[in-house]
Amino acid sequence: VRIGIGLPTTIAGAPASLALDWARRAEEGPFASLAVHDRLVYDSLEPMVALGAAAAVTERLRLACLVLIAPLRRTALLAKQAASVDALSGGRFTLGLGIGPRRDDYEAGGVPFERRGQILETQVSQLRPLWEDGRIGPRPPGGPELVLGGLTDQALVRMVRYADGFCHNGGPPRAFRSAADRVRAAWSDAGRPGRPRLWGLGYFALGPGAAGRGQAEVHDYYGFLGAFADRIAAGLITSGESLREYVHGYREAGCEDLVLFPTVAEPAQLDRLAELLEVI
Amino acid sequence: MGRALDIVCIGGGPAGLYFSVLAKQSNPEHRISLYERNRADDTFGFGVVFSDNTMGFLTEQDRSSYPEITRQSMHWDPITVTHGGRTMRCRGVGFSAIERKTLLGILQAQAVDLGVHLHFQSEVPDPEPLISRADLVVGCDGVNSTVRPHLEDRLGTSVEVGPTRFTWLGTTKGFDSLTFFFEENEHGAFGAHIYPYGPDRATFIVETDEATYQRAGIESFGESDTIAYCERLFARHLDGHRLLSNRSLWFQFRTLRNRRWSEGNVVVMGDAAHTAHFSVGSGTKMAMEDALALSQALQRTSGVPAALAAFEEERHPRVEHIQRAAAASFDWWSSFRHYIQMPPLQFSFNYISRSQFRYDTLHPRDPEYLAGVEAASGLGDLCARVIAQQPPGDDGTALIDLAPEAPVVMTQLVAVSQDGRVTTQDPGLWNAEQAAEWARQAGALRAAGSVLCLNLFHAGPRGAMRPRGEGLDRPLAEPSWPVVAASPLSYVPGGPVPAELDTARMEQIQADFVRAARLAREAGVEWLQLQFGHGYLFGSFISPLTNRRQDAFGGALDNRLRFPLQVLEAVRAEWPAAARLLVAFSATDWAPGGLPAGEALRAAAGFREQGCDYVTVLSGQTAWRSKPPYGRCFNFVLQGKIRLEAGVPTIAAGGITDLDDVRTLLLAGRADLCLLDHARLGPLRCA
Repeated sequence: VRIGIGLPTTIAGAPASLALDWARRAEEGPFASLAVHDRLVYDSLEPMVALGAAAAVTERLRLACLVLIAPLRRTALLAKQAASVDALSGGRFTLGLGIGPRRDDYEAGGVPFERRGQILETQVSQLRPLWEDGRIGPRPPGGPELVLGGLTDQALVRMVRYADGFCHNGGPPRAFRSAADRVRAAWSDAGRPGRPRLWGLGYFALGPGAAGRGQAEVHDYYGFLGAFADRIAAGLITSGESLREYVHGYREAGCEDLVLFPTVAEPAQLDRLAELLEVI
Repeated sequence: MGRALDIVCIGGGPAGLYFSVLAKQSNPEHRISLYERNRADDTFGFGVVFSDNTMGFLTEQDRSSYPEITRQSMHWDPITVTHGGRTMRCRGVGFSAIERKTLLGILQAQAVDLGVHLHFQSEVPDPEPLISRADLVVGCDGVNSTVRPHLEDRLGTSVEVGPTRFTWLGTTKGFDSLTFFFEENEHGAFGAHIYPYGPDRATFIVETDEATYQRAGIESFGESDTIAYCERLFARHLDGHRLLSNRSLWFQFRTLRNRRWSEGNVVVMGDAAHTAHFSVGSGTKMAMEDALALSQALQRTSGVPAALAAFEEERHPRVEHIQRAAAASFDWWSSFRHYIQMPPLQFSFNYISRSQFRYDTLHPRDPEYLAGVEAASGLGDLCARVIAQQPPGDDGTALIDLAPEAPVVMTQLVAVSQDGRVTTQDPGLWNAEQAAEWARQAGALRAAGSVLCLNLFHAGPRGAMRPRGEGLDRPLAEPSWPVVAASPLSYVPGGPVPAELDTARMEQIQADFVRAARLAREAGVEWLQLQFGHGYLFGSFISPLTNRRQDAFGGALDNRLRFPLQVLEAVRAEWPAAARLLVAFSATDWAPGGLPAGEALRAAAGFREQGCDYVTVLSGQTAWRSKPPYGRCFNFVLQGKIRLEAGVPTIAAGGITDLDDVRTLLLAGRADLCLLDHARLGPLRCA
């Protein structure tokens, strides 16, 4: 399993300038990827723009959107933006798409919340043809790696039809394992060649006093989800031991890329994670 | 904390009482009134059960009322299955139970203490005035809710009446675990679910199938007749104890589903919103979890609409999950008369693994029980029962690599003609050159200790697509070959419309299959599978969703099977009698209006009669919009039914990834052989 790190672009109060500094440090660190979340009604940076900026200050890291709330965007423009990030980064982009669970994002975006699944379905069926066609550019045609979130029956059917793999929404290794089992079963049943790409994610807060601040941040970000927020907060990686356990569990479950997101927006968090990754 | 609300609960069962308590605790400013049509101490149904993980969840989330409920509950660790004169126990499948009256008493007392206004013997014939007055109306008045009809057209309500008959009794005999008795008499097979909730008290539910119910004449029974009949039936288990009645009529279980649970300021929860067959012990659990989720949603969101949306968001996936588990369990209870002939230990494992438990999830709980099941099974080496699947798109390298894992390796789909391919890259078998290549691969595999199973197909409506690596079912911009199907219905919405297959083309395709079988035989291929599922040509004939023909090949099942069976017959005549011939088909469409289970069983029996050795039970991919419940062993229910009810040797496929899956299916008698997923996590660990 390759370990990636999240950008602190969805932590309330984090200055925008921290993102670029963070990206440069990640490039120097033991990380394979750099990833962002997406949220509209929040003190956060727009993910495509953030990754465009990250592309400019990195050369090596895979850049991933985990996940972009696709229905908030018009499909052709979304296709062009994604292809642009991919082109700017020299083909290092992974586009993860999902519907997101937040009603307020849809209200602010002027998109009917109830139709989000249908809209995503249409979008993912159109993206690949748009990228392959090359008409809207940038050329050469192709497009980035595409993974989808969501574990409903329909989401899995959609994933094996149109995408290269799956992105999980976080949680303890056993939750990832059971999700990955479902994804692999769908992939096999559908007769897709090869294996699904499997992205997992987790959250960390390392060092003195960080755990409490991290938990508060998780509750602020995911609070509207009730019990889910509690589970994410309870699964927060706060030590070398919990990091080892988390990474081990994800590796055993067949995760290929595990991205750990900070919950405290301080550069020392990245350094601490890098130091612990050396010893686990 | 949200603002203080005027809340009305209609119904004073566990859902309504528990919600009132939690909501009032979280905000004492809420004004909550609860209306219940019965008296405070009226109650029906003796005890209620919770699975262990419910207790865990509620204990974690509710530190005020739940400890008292736990204290007054009875907990049992094992499950006991008594059948054929043998009593079998599996430990670690814990449940808790509490007398319903006690549970309601605890919650009523807490509600009163907190200042909830409880109104007993107060039916609400028309909730409209309450709806227009209150901030929030909670319909928690059970499956026959009077609140739900006020919203029904907007909730997407569906009710499914189950095929069994059951009655809810009690007994004074003490039991030390969740217990199941199975008995047969001259009328048929009966099962009893026993949930002890006190040292000398237990709920005793008797369930049987419709035919047995009719033969026994139960329809005309009064309560005392039921008691007498059941006491006689289960006499050897009751040790002279009586069965007790409490409005104990016979019912058919109704599974209630709603697409939505709320509209405006009204929400339904508990049994008023959803039911799940009692054999998974989740009715009260779901009701109480609903109550907890709704009270928490009110606390953390602003405004009733946002809270109701958050409540539904959180609870729908969980309830769906339980309803799915309950459906598998209910299916078992609808069919157990077919399983009762199994040896007792296998029967018990078949029962315990009927829904969510697998070998690997049970093993840490009771290794001794499983060792007993395994020893009695006489299965021997499980690795000898495995077929490996060649990954699609493989050039033959992976095929040979699979030899050490399995005695048989199934090829990817092999077309019988150029026009029968999905993509230009599909392998085929229609000329000597291809036959020579298959002979080489079969030989290489044989040298490595395995045999080749050639998987023949015709793509039908899924033909002329782009390579599968670029996404599935993406039609070629300019199809270079004609696409055919049972009926002119495109596989992909808006995609190219196939031509309806005429009889001349049918004969041609049949000849193509016979030629492929002959070439395979000459090439030394040992096993052959005909692919009749997954929406390919024959699949398009079998599924009622894709066959709209008016001729002898459409309409009733026998007609829809006619062409596939003709081809099977012709291939069987060409294929050596001693060599294995398999048919794979989709036993369900996972879509409304699709192939019913009864027809799937008849189809499998038809293939068997026409001379196939095994039926590979697949599912889905027949309709564009379907909901396959992907996961480990996701076809296990139908696989078991086809083997045990239709008596057809089966190969299980779909979500089978390791020896634990294989062991689970074989020990329960749900399959003879197992086909492994190609994209599984790692190689099979065979000695």
